[in-house]
Amino acid sequence: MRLLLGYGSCGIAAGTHDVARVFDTMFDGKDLSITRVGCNGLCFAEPLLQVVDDDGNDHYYGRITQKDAKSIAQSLLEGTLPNQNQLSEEEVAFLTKQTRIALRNCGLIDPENLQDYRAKGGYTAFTKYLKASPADVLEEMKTSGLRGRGGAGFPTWRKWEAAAKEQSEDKYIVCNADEGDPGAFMDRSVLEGDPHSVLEGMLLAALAIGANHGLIYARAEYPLAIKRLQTAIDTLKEAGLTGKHILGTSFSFDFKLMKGAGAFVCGEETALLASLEGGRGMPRTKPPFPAQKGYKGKPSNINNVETLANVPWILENGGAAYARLGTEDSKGTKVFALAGRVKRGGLVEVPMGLTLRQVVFDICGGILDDKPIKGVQIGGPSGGCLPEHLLDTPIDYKSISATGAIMGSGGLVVMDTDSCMVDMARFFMDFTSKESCGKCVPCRVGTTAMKEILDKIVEGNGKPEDLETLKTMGESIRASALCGLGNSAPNPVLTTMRYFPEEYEAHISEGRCPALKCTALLHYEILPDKCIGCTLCRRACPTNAIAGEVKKTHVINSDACIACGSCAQVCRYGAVLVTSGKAQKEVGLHA
Amino acid sequence: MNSVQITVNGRAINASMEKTLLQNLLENGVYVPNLCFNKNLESYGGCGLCLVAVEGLPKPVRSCSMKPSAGMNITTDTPEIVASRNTSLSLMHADHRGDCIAPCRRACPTNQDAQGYIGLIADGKYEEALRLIKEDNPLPASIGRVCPHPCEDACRRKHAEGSVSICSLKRFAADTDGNTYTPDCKPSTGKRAAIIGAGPAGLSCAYFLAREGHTVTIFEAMPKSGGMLRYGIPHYRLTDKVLDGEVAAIERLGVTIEYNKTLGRDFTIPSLKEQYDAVFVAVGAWQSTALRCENDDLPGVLGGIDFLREVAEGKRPEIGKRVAVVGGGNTAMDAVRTARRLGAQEVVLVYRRTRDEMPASEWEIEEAEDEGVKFMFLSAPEAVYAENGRAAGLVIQKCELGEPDDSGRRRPVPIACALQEERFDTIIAAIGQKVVTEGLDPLAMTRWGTIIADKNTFQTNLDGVFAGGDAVNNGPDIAIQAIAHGKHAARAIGAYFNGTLSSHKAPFYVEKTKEVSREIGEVPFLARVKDTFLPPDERIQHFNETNRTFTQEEARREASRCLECGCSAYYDCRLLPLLQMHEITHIPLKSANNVLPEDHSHPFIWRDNNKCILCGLCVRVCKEVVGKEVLGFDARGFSTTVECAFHTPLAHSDCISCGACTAVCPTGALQDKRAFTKTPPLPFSVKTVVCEHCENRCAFDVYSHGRSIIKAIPDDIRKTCSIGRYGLTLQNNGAVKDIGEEAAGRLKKALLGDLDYFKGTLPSFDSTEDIMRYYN
Repeated sequence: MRLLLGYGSCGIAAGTHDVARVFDTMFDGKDLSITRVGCNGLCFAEPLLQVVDDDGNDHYYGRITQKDAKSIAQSLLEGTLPNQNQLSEEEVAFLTKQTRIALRNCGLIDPENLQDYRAKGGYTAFTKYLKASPADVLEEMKTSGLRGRGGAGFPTWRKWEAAAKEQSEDKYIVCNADEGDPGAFMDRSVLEGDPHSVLEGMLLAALAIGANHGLIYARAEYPLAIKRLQTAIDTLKEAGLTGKHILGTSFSFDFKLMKGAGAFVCGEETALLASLEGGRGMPRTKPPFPAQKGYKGKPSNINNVETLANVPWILENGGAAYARLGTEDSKGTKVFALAGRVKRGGLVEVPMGLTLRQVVFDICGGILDDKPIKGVQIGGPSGGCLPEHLLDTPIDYKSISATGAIMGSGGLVVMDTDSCMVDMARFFMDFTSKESCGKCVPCRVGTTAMKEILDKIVEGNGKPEDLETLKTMGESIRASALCGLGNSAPNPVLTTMRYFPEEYEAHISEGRCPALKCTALLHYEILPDKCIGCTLCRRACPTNAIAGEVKKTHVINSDACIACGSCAQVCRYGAVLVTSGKAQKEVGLHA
Repeated sequence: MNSVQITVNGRAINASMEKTLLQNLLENGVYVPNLCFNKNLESYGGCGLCLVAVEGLPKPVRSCSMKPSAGMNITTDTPEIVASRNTSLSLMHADHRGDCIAPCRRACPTNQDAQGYIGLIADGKYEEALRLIKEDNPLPASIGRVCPHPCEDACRRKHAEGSVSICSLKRFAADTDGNTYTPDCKPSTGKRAAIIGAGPAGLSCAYFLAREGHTVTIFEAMPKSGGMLRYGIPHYRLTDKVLDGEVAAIERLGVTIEYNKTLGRDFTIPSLKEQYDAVFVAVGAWQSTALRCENDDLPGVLGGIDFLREVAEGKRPEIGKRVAVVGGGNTAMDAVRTARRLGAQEVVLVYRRTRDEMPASEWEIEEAEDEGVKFMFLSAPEAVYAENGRAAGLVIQKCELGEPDDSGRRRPVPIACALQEERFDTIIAAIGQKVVTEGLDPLAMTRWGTIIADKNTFQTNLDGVFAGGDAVNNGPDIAIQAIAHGKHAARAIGAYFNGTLSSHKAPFYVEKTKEVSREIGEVPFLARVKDTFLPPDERIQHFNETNRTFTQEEARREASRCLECGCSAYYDCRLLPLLQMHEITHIPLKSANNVLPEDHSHPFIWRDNNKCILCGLCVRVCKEVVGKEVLGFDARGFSTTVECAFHTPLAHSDCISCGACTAVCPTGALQDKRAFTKTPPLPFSVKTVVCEHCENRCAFDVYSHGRSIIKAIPDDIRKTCSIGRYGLTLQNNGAVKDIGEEAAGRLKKALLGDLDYFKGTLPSFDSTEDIMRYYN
């Protein structure tokens, strides 16, 4: 019997440390022990224990408290499967409906243990291809059809081939682990749960292009991932799988892990290289491409974490096996990080070609509180917002691009009818305007200009001509910004304008926020027939805008009210009425 | 060698593969705007302007980063590219805080470069100041006396202790020169122009046409020139002598004035049109507007300008003891003060609104008050009452102020039954003037009886016939406006001669937004130099000038007060021409209202991040060419700025004063200090000299205005060094010679990049003069 306890950042945040302590104490001196594994994607159910019984069947126990841990440990010690905290069939289906390649080991192995990885077939592809020719690796990659999972979707083999063609004594494989999209966390999960798959991916890439150095650029905000990566690099060295003349061949390779300071733009490959070199993280013009002139002017190949994690599987199982998954245009699987108003948020790896609806509803269980879905933001701040009627779009590079969004790195933020699309666009514009590196005018000034227009609109000061300005400015920025950050920055605005024009209209011409989100457009009042004079709202109001005595109807002074909604949050009688133009709702816990 | 053929906008070009696409395009004369490119630096791609469409590529590419390849098919001006360039430039403009030209210059109808001549005066270069003035205005001595100076209303120093006395400084420069300067004229074009009227508009037009090499004849109805300047402005403000001197200077350019020739009697517009290649009609507005009340035509009722003209002609009309002047404008002020000088004991200004609404200049009202003029406000003449067939007084309707009218001033509303009688010996109606239309019948007129002239080209309905001054469109205005008409019309007439007359558009300039225009920083108190007047009781005894010209000391002190709002990089800015050439949309940016501090610490260089467009040229040249990394980028997003490490002032950085950064800066964000008190933008000529400070003998382009060196830039930026950049400038401006051997030695050390002197202490070098003082 194996006991796998989720020990990713999500698990730790949910309290796994405490739970683990209970297990450790209870199992101390017994022949049971827990294996600390990375997250298996069921983030919504952490702290999570997976029990693999001797017959190889999986049993899942989720949302474990310290108290639960005690009784679970007790029954395990008694040799019986606990009958508490079990995940529902539906919840388990979250896992079983997936096809896991990049995440194949996540949650199943001890990420700090090389043997665990090797036991799953790790490094067999590497040792096999160590003696093969680079062309063989490239051929297999070409067959697989794998495209870059970082966002742009450029065929991986072509990138490798370009770098392979360059003549240089030093060549670099760079792993882009600077996952920056708000709402995206698949790379972190892979690094925390299965760092060796990434390292092996880099080694294989190195074989293909003749590289002798490996650089990993990981964001400093991922301390656990960095720790596990460093452990993996160290154990690999001890095992003789890196260094000079690996396994007696002519192939030498070393790894270096570097921390990024948290600039979103450093996920862009040329900015990443500049940062790696110790400079300011600013993208540069291409050409020359990194394959020709990369790190320190040497040919370099940059791949994202998820891309690299796929590589060992492909080379172990064959490119054709990978290509059998997915669609004509987009092969294999893709990991999505689901967040927002979805019942089961977490990591989902599915074959390309599934629809967004299948992911959101079939796998993730639909919308919280079964509210109607409004849309899905795909691809983070660079992506776009797709409305409900486009949920049947198959997930592949071509179809997603056709909607005006991009596949991006795989963040999926699900929104229900309480989300204001204008406010959401404003949020992403604010993000990109702050994260712009400041180099090119379209991005540095343009994103700020667009953000200021959106500010005006959510404050109710928008003008009809603002929409035209947003559109022309957005299109110009798309065409003229220097790097991907700027090129894609207008996407959230342009897609929401395209798919939710009525929301912009409502803000601009009626001064109304249909989702009751934009505070400047909200009006709060207390319904006299529902208010019982409990004084909770009065006490919660930060601006003393509410007057009223005990057991008497309270009143909001709208001049002092800042529409923060504190009153609505505390009211237990649904006595607070929020209106914005014609839209209104009674709020409060019992409303 | 190593060249390929590419197609650009349908034209085949041989492109070198060693150079970027942009370089190839520029060398082949293809227009591709760019701001962040420099052939000695790695391509950067910041400005985003050099986009071109390459056939087969999904989106436009930066031509600065791409090399040509055989058969490339390039388009440089697809609608998408044009739109994107316009957007980029609009965005750059939105984040570019400054004034291309100073508010005073913008406010002046003739765009007189006040900052320029004030800067030169401050530096003691009076002759150069006058030369600069005469580029825009042929009558500075006159205008320097009579102008209501809209420039001073716009002067930003008014937000401190008071605007700069711009007008009096102009008078100073002109008087100091005493009309000795005669500008050069271009060789004769053989084109002949006739001008009707030798007033400010006609004289100005003649001056600018003559300078362009055209032959000009002015036809003047009066026996003398100057128009309203002579016949409408009393001598105590502008003497005949001053005016005669300035007209004579215009005549020296070859302009002929034929006096006593009246339109409609001695010649007609068609007759001139037959004899000349173009005609400029500047007849002015010489008829007083009547009071338009009962008995307004009786003897004893005079028109304001008629009255002033008579006095100007040397007549002394009988006006009696008590005189009323009706009106509130500058003519009314001239009339009351003239009446006082003619001996009237009580002069009353009758005006239907209050002092606040008076269009006359505040200082004129004050001077009139000092001279004992009485004011009767909220009083509208209802009728002139008669005694013995002669005006004997006014029936006055008292008024109160109502709602504002179209002009924004509150309208006078009669108070029922509030009438009063006032006895006057003479009543002068100074309420307006009209164009005498005799001889103007071939021209299309407005319903107010003025000539319709195109606002930009000043052409009338007749081909080749232009018109300006008081006689056109909105009618009478201030003299400098007429001069502006003359100047702009001369340019249009020149274009007409060339066959290139098209609608002229006022050029676009970057202006500080309202939000930041009042931010003038900390200005040390320096009181405005006041004009010196004769005492009022003395000045009403005669028609002599009431105030004198500034002394040199006064002028230099006053000129030193100029805040230098206009950008000193105006004449070699690379951004402005692009903004003017492309279609810019105004994008208001709240974030751009944050005014960034300037760095004046360095002896030779000053930095103004408000004007920085973050092209990165300075940062890159410092790193890639000079091998230093003194400047770098700071912060992210919109807040990105160019700074020295840890935000130290430039003087405390590792700067070696090589001046590479200021040489490559496309805007006014990085500039050289000059060996002047002020750093005004000045038009320059460029001469190449060989620097003899060391054996390298580098070639330097020396930019100079008159005898002053503005800057010296090496022909190859890789040869930049502080001795060449700043030593040449300082030496050639004579700044170094008087500081003594030891001080010169120390300065040389600083020029050699040893800025240790400044470490620890932080002297502020607002000008190179400060540096010289420091080394003394």
